[in-house]
Amino acid sequence: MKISDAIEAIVTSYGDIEVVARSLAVDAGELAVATAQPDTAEAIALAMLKKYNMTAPVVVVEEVAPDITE
Amino acid sequence: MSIPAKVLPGFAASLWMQSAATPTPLTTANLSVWTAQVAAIVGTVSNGTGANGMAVPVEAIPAFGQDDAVASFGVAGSRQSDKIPVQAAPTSMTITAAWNPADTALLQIRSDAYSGVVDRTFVVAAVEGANTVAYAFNGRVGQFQIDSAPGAEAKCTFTIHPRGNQFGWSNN
Repeated sequence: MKISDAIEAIVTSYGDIEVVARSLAVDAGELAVATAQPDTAEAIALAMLKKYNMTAPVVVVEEVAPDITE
Repeated sequence: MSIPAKVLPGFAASLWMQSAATPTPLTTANLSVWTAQVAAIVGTVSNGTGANGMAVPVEAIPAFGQDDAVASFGVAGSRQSDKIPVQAAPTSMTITAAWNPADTALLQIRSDAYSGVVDRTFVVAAVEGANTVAYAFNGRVGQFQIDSAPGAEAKCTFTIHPRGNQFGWSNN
């Protein structure tokens, strides 16, 4: 779903916007760079989306083989 | 929606509402937006009047927030169970005001109560100096009563039932 569509869905909702935001899947990369003017409904919506859709960076831990030598 | 990080040492609370007969209540997200949304009801200056709102002449602002709701369970032989917080309904606000049959706000409240299905945005404004912290919510009015007992001034009592999850905090 496009960020603009997700924001529109939240801004126009009369329901629980936390639940609405939680149900909207958006691209995390696109979301990370999205901005909105402060003190606007769009900023509220964007904060909600970031709360529930931001993907945490994946940290790869290299597996170390157990030392079996005596 | 977070509560504004603003401290008002000594404030006066007032109640505001949208003034239109058939208003379009603010959406949930806009209930947290001061500029052009909540400010349009409360007014941009302390206790001013916004373009879309008017003050409701109430005696006091009642408690608002949410009711307590818990689920509990019992196990045979156990003295105590957990109380698990569950979805709590918003607190209904029962309000008393001096009854003035010519007051525009009270007449609108009475009209809403007769209808029962008018959704309207209300704002509890805490004002201290030039600072305003606003709690905005959508609600419907019910139980409008006029008590004109001869021993005291006539008063009216009504209850605002907030819509679930439709609230927001903002400040100027």
